[in-house]
Amino acid sequence: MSDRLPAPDPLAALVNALRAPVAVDPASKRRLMELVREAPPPVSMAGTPGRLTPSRSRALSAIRRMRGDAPRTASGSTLATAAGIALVMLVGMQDRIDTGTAQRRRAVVIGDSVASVASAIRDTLRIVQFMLTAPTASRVALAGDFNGWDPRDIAMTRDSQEGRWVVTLALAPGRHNYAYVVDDTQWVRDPLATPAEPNDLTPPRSVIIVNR
Amino acid sequence: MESDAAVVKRVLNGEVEAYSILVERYFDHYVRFAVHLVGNREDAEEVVQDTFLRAYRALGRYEERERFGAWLLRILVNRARTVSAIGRRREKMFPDQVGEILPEVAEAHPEERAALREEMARALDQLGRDQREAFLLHYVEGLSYEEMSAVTGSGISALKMRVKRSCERLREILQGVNRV
Repeated sequence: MSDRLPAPDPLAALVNALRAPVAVDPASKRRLMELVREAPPPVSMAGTPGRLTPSRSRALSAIRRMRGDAPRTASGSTLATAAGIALVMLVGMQDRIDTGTAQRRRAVVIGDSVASVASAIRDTLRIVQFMLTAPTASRVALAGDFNGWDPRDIAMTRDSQEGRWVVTLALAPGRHNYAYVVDDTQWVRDPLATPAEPNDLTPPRSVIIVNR
Repeated sequence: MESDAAVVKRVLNGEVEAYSILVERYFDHYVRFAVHLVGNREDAEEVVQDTFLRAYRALGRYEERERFGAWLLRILVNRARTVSAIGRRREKMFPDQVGEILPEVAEAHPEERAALREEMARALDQLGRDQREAFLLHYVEGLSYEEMSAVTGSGISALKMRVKRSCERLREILQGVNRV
């Protein structure tokens, strides 16, 4: 929290006030969806319009499982193929993870995603594992620019008696800011990662660069 | 949670109703941003509705390497600029948070809360469009300068200068209010 201005700073208080939710009439969203239904359907610019090929579908299902999302389809052949893809990914992960305890606490890019392994998605995603040691925490979540800084969206899993919390995501290449949210309230920077450019008014953040 | 990119694919695959997932994820948040950007709720909701409709029509051009929220924000900023350019009046509105911002003043002079609220809105007004936009994107939306550059089309140096000047100006204005 050292990046923050002291509480009495009126500018910090102004920013907090500007972040307060604004009441929105639910009818606005209903009206919007009515307009969407009336609009001509969007056309995909990449190959067959919007159609998931079997390989793209398999890759996306595997990503969802990796993120803990429930798969929407689970045919026998799809599961068998996805399991094969995931195995390829996990072998790669094992080679990269065992690099010592210190590195296990920071976010690291640990390999190509199932999508790129399968050559199924045009823009390669990368598998990034985020780790934080917080033995006394009851809950830890990950928030970042990749999920709109939602502190409830990406729950981390406690994976050891030492209090290590882990989550694995597929992220697009580029620069991502992130922070951990401990017990729903405490925002902490990754102690071993590069600090994000301080801006005085936001919680401390870290940066990870995901290379192509 | 299903990723934005996966939802986009469902919509492109013909599941129009899946678009409501993206509407639920971003609509309220971006109305808040637009209210502060254009200065009144009516225009803000219109801008956000228009943004989502344009995004829907252009969904085939969305590229996964860009965060969907950032792509949407770029459309929103352009729509808000258009609204500002046609000269709609920024209403003097601000949430009733004067007590939170300036508790001593609000408590000592409750009758001045309305006037102070107007001062808060005027503070944002006085920044001018570019500075207000940069301040809100950086401090309220938490965007990095690289992301701001992608959203606004402005260079990073120019954006840093706008943010710096907006902070200086707001501090001047707020300190002036505090001396009321």
